Amino acid sequence: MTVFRLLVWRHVIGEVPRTALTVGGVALGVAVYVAVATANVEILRSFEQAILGVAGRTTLQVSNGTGVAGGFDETIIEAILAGGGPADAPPVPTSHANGVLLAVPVVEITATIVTEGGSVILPILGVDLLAEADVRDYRVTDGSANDPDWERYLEPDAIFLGRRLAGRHGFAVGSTLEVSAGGLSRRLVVRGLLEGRGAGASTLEELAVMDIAAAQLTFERLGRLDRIDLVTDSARSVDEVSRALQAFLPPGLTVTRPDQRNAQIERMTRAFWLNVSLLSVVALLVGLFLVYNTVSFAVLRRRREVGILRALGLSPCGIARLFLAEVALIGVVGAAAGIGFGLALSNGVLQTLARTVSNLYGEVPALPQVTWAHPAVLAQGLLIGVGVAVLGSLGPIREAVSVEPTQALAPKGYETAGALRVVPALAGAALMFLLAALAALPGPVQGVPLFGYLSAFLVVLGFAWLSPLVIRAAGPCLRLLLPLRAACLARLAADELGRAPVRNAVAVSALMVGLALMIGVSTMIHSFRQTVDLWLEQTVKADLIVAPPAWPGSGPAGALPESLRGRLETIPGVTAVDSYRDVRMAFRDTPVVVVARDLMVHAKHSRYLFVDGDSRTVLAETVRADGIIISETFARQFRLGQGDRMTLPGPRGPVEFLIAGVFYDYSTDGGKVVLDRSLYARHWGDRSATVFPVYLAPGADPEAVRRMVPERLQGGPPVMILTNGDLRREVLRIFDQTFAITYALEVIAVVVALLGIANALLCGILERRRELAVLRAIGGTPAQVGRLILWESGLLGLAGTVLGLGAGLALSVLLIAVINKQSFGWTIVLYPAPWVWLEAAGLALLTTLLAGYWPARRAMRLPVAEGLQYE
Amino acid sequence: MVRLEGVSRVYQRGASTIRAVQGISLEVARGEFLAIMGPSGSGKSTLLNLIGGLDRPTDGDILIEGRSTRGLTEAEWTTLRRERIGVVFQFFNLLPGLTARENVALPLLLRGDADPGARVEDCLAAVGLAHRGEHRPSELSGGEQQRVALARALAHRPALLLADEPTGNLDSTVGREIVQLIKALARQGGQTVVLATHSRDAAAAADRVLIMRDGAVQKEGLPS
Repeated sequence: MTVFRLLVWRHVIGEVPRTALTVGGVALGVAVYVAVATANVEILRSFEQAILGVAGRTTLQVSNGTGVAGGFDETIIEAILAGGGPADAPPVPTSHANGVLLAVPVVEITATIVTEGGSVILPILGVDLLAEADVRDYRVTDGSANDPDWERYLEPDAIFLGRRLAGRHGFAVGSTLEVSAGGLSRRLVVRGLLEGRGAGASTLEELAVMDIAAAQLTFERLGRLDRIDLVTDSARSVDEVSRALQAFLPPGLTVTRPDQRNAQIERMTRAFWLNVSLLSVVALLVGLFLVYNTVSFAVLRRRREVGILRALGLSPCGIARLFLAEVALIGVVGAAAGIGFGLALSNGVLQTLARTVSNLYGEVPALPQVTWAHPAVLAQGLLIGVGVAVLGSLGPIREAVSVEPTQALAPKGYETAGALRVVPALAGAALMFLLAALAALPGPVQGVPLFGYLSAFLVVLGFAWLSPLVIRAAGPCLRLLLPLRAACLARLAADELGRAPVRNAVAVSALMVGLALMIGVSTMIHSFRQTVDLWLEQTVKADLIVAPPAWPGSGPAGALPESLRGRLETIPGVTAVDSYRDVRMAFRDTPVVVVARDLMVHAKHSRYLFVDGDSRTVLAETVRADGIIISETFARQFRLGQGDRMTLPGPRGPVEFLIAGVFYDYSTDGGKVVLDRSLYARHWGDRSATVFPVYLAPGADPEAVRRMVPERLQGGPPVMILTNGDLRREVLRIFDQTFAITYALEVIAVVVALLGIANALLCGILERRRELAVLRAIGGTPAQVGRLILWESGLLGLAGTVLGLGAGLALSVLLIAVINKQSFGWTIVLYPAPWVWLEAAGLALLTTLLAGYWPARRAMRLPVAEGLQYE
Repeated sequence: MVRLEGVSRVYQRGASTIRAVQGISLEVARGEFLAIMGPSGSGKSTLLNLIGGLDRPTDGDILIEGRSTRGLTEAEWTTLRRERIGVVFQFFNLLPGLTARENVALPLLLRGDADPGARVEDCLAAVGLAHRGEHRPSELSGGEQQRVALARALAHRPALLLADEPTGNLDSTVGREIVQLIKALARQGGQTVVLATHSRDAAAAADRVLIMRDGAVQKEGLPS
């Protein structure tokens, strides 16, 4: 017989439903955290694997820093192998003098194939098949026991697919693939499957590989490379070799370590992850309220027990240890359940977040699967579960140990602690709001809106401070509005809640946080969507868009030849055709989108919304001055503005431009630079187009023109034709998909809050058994007792809803004007969304009534005689 | 008015069996004031709970106004209490959020009376608290709270008043006053009273006294 079993375990198992609710609250909070953190780790790991797995033994990579399709001259590889100096420089006598043991040329083709599920992007790696064994760890198999048929493997139409990739799309050895890339259509035959080995096996089995000579020939890339993978001498420092190589490489070519790309991605997605992680923390915050609630009740209920234990000689520390042991147990069980549930959820969360990351950052990693639980995430989940439980219990435990034994032993009502003092409560709330306003003023800290988050937290805290006042006001309000005989149970319920405003404030605050999050984020998303919609309406004026299949996910290599523009212009009803090219370049070590288009055509038929200045004037000035325009997000991110100068990496070295304007843009988070097509062609030599925006003459029928496009482009590469409406719908679809995860997190926060309401009611019922029994004894029916509890639930819901609406509106302003702006740089106009608010309020009220259902049933079934017992 | 026929109440607490009431048979006439005395744990409160339908006998039958209560549903018991039974408790058990007037009105409101105002005022006046109607329980003395509880118990003109240790939480002077008030009002209203008490003083006001020990009737007689 241990003290633990006598004084702790007995309480934990003595009231299973209440313990289960608290454990459930902690578990749900931990589950959300674990699911999001696991998804985060897995996605970054999948990026890392995609980069490092494919890199194999590669320690350095030479690539075209300009990001322009078309690559660079392959002869540079001889210079690298010669040991330094460009091809025309005198060779260095010692072999491998620069530390390069192996230089493997690579061509990267972003192709599309048509499968049963529609167009799919297929990145193809053109490599030296005979040298691959020295770099990447995979084996080519054609499914037979025969030796590899190298003659057939090296044919121009031979392609090799990773086993997983082939399996997913139903391809086998001998299958033919209709492949489109760079405006070319080719038929390729699967000659073998790749079986990966070692740590990067799964990544390698997602690859599509051709022999480099075949790829260059098939896709008209003769003499051009996209990358050279280098294996360096392990005896020499990689950085030292990198510096030596960079010194002699021509401008435009850069040497990087494969993991640098990974770091770039981590940097790029940091703000996004922080936002998602913070949303997951809200669920924990609500779990914290729940624990506070439960322990508060435990302390009140065991007041006499505490008094007796103190009288028997247990010290205040001993009392604290007993309660702490109980909450730690709840924390451990909650965390363990939460970790299990979180891991079960993580695959779903992972798929959603992977799509969101792809949408936001244009990266398309192979869709990852959760394969293992990251030990750090598991440890964090456990720590957070126990931490939340202990933190939530500290206040009530402090109260338990501060009560004198004589006081604790005196017979009193169950609610004696936590009396409400109106003026300090109001002053506290006002102080929180003032501090929140002040915290909203400073800028971000290293791109993270830390003060913005602090401000949001203070706003929520301010409203939480107001919640006891709102609860206590419910009684007098109902007293004024309704005579006792008209709403006897409602009045009773309000009076009951008003007797314990502080205790009930915790449950109300939990609901308020969940609802505020729901309303704040929904209003932000609604405003963002309206802003984007308006922006699309004002800036996307093209009637038709002619694009490669699978656009916009096809990347820079998914380009169309310039010649199509002329053919499109000859279609009757077409008044102008723009050619729009977007590529990624590194600016200050961050990938940014660079767009080249015919700015004069754009000025005449469409427009950019400039922060300062009229579209036509600014665009004309941009063309005249050979300048560029930058997006608002780019300007904010790199602290650049109109009139500043900036450089982009050109094939012949950095090119400097004047920034002629800053425009609003919501198409990418990373920032966008736009320049005239002729200027781009002059510096980068790339004349292809990603898409062709087509403008029609007034009165021309878009459908008729749309039907004529395939006919006019006959013999050319496959294209898809989108109408203006299609494009806008697609943009908004991606937008909605991007924010899907936030809705899921909001729902979880509200569910945890509802657990809080149910918990509060349940605890209240247990403590008020006698009062409810008296009600029955003087003639109340079980149904009336049930309705009383439902009224209490509804009133708690109403208080939470009123506060949640206020806090939600304040949060939406903070999210739009501070947090979002500092995280991503977008200017969003606040659009009120009354129906969203009504919907959220209605949902909260309805679900709080549901939360009251179980406690109400329990109250109805309480044995009356037992409830009337005095001891 | 009330007849008990071999009524028993047995509780199962884990492995042990508690016989709170064992085969009690008795009859209380209309308008009679019966006091039940006995030490703690003798079964007084359990017997009152059984008579009031707040608990169910494991054996035997309770007849109220000649009608057997065996097999009554929860709803039927509630109706019976609403119409025919009033209850007073040791710790008053007033709802702390309501005023004295509202507490007295509560049983009437719970049974759906649209305008209980006049009856409530009468009851408050009968217990001498007409001037304290707007006070909450916390603003009243123990004796006043028990008077409000008595007014509440009588508000719906019950035929049977059950009083469980109504003086147990009051000093002897106030306790005597309360018992006299119960007696007077019951006489006036023609109510039958069953009072459970430790106090000889309180029992002295009764017409008959029943002494219980270990769940059974040990002795029955006139008050001393």
